[in-house]
Amino acid sequence: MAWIQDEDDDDQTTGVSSVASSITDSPSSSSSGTLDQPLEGSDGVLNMAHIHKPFKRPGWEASRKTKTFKQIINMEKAKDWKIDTPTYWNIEALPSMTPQKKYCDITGLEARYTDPKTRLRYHSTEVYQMIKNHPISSVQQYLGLRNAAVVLK
Amino acid sequence: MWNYPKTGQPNWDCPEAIDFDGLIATLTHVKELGYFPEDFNSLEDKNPVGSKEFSTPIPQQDLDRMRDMILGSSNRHLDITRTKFVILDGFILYVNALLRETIDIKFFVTAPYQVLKERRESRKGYATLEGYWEDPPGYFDDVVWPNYLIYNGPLVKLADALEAGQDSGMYCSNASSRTDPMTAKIDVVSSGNISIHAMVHAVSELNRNMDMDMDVDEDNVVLHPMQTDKQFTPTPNYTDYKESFASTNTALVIDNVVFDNQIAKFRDRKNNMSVTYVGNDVYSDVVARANIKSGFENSVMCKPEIMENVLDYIFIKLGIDADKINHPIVMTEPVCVPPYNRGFMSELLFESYQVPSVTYGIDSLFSLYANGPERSKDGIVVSAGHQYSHVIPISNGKVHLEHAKRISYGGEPASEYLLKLMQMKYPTFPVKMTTTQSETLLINHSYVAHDYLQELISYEDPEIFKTKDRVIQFPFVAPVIEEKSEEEQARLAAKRKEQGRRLQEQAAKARLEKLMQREQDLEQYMALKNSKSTLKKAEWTEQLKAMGFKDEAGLELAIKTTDAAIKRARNKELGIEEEEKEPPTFPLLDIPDEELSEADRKEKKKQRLLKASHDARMRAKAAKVEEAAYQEELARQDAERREKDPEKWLADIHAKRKELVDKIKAKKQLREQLSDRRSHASQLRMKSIAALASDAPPPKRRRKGQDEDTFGQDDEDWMVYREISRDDDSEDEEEATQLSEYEQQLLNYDPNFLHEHTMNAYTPKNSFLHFYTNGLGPYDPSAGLSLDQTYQLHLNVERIRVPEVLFQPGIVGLDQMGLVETIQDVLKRFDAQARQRLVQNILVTGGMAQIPGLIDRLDHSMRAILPFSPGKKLYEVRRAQDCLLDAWRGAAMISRDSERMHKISVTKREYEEYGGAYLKEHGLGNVRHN
Repeated sequence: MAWIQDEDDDDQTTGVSSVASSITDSPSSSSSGTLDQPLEGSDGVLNMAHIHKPFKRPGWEASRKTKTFKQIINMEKAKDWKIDTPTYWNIEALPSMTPQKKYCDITGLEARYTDPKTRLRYHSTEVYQMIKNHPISSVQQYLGLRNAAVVLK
Repeated sequence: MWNYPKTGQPNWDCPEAIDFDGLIATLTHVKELGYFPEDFNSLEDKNPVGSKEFSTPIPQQDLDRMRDMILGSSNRHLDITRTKFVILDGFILYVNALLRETIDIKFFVTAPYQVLKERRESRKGYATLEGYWEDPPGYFDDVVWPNYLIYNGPLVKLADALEAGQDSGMYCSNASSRTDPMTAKIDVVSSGNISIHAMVHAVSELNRNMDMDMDVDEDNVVLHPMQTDKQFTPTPNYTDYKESFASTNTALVIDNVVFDNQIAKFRDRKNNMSVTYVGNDVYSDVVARANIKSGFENSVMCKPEIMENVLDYIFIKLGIDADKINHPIVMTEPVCVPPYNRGFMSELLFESYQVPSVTYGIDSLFSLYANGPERSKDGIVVSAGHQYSHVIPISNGKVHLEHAKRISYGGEPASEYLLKLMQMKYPTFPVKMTTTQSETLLINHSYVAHDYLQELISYEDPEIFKTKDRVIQFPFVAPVIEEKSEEEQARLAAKRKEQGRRLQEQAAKARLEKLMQREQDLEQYMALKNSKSTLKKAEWTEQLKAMGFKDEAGLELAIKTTDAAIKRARNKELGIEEEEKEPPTFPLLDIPDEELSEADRKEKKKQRLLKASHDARMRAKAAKVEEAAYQEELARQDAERREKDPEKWLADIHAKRKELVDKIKAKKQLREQLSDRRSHASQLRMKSIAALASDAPPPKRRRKGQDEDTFGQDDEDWMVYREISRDDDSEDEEEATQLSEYEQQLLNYDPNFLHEHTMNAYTPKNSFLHFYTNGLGPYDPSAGLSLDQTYQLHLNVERIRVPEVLFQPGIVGLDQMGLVETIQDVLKRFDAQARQRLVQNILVTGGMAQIPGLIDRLDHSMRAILPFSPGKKLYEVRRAQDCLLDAWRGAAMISRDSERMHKISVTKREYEEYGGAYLKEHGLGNVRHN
């Protein structure tokens, strides 16, 4: 969710996951003394590989055999779903019904023309002059920006 | 001082009571310098404020929106947050024409008589220059109100007219239809109710105008520095766990922020140990940075072993040292997360940490709850998040996830899009830009356009462009040019000179030695030669052999060459120029072969060759001299013509240049056409090739009865090869030099022909592409970009292009509805009544909600998709108070409600019975799948 970080916020354990017990409002400033071994460098960086974690159940390990998200979705899709159940894949927004405006692939301005040769949309003759000198690779890159590149497999 | 005639009371409420000159002088001072004059002493702060009961505070959300609009409208160099506004308030301000000119934005807001009267009478009095003044009874009716009507006549009339004629009751200027001098330049005239929008609009306009008025010095471009790398900030440790929470069952609220939810696992070769860093800590180490891994895919947790590391880190940081996590967990999860993945999380929490219970909810719904629990029963949550954006409707306290929609665009795709755009805009940029950097750009510089097309058009105008272009300066290191002092330079020069002299001396010495050696040799040779007569022949021959000669001829030759060498060396030493060598003679050539001996005939052959090469050299020399003379003569004639009839001469050059330019252009065009296989030019070419390749003679000739092939008899025939040749560059260079010659002449002699008229001229000002990529700063076409400029990015159209994708996903080729269309689509699934309730509470949250202008744009676009409602706004778009942390806050609020928690949390026993995917539905989370 949060991709903009509030750097002034002390309340948040900066970025990892916003974590705090629900009534922790005053983080104190003295250093941690409850842990039984020196586990951090002077810069406050923890090496988690060598820290004693008392709260974990000994002997239990998270499964390492994991599927990719795509595999999971395909697996889940195969299940028997009621028609009106909201699922990860059926809440995807639908294709737009309104006519799409066209914008210049190079400058982003409104595109009045399309180059029949490269299929690039362009704003003005000046941009067209530029397009003409583009190598195919960069034309494809520009097309790729709006998912219109020819992908050879 | 002027007394009101009817009552004899002093009158403070007329123009004469105001020191307009002083006011204007003070205002002008403030406008120019930004602070009050030193001798300025306001009495105003001694005044009491009227009673509170007559004031209506502006709701915080309106204020937020106004701020958004104003910030969004101003995209200029100067930081708007540092702009100072002077607010001048008074009830007969506009009578003075000069004062009207001094005020930039003029509002006239009126209210009904009764309201005004109540307000005035609730105020006790005010400070005047002559002491504290209190209104006597009846003062409002006797003095204030009549004066108000007299001095604001035209404005009041206008306001009344608008009130009667238009629903909004307000009038924005721009229209020049108002002729009365007093009302003509008032920006907003309103009878009060909803004039805020108009006021904000007026302020935005002023901002824009100031942008244009601001004469930005070309060299004074504002640079926004770019950090090279993500800075590492350590995560604080919490130490109050043991004393405050260890024995409580306080819930732990974990908002699974995908951003920075990452680990880096690697082997430290230096210390020979394995290292695992979590979260921010990965930025503390270069190797760690290269090994960042996230357990999340498409914001869904897929790798429990990575999540486990992150949870460990969280609990360590909180200072938990019990043998298990004895606190209920409240955790956020994505909308419609697959049950399989929830199973991972539950398994981890219950098995590894043995938590007593878990409650899952959707982050944006928690955010809604945090922004007023009482308003979380009906509404639409628009969450513009990290990976995705969601639109989720809530009706009657129930989340309708089956009507929710997800748009595949959010902060991360936006940053990547911006990164790609910048990479393609600057393909040769010397620094590799990272997603982190493009994200920073997005956060600091992007904004959502109020009207996208209009905003795009505005970028084309260099004057407006200048104000919106953001220059990002990447750090660079200038090559060190060592400045040497004059003294040092002199010393170095002296040293060089000394070295040169020494070398010369050495050479001279060597020459002298050689000369002496030669002289010795010559002496010996001569002695030998002379001794021939005195010595016996055999003895002499022996001596000759001893000195290395075969016979006498060899000795003669040696003497001759040595003598010549000595002479040459002497001459050189003395500085005597060697006289011109006599032209070589070839005496044998004229004698017929029969008269010559065998050896001489050989010699003759040699001489013939020598003569031929000598002659050729001479000819070339002569031709060179001739050519130079010819060129000189041409230049002289040219100059003569120029002096005689400069106009004709210029016209000639112009014509020649034009012809050449046309030729070059035609060639270029032909080449372009040839690159297309189906063009007319290409087909003609293919025809020619086919004709050349065919064995049959062309039909035209056959008709004449000539069967044999005559190709090549006419020189023109060969031109066909030039025609069919694809890349004929032979002439290009010639033409280019010729053209530059013409242009140079024109530049020299035609005052109207300027540098920008030359064919390859590049004028940054008229070239959109130029200022689009390089801005409007100083630019020298011949020198190119300066070093600091090559490290600059110009962010302009991209500022709106990237966030616009939220509204038009088609821009990135995403075939989905934009935000507004999605909201419309979602609304369609509810009946009219529910719809009305929903639109009154549209909450926007998530990181991208912080982009300026987004709320304003949504608000403005909602009008278009909702039924027409004159006079009254039936919907409300608001921004979450804290777009990032409200999800956590909402979850924390829930966690404190122990009764509710009891109902909605999944206990360990339930987990064991129903499995990890099990969920209890509550208004703020996902639905259970059976």
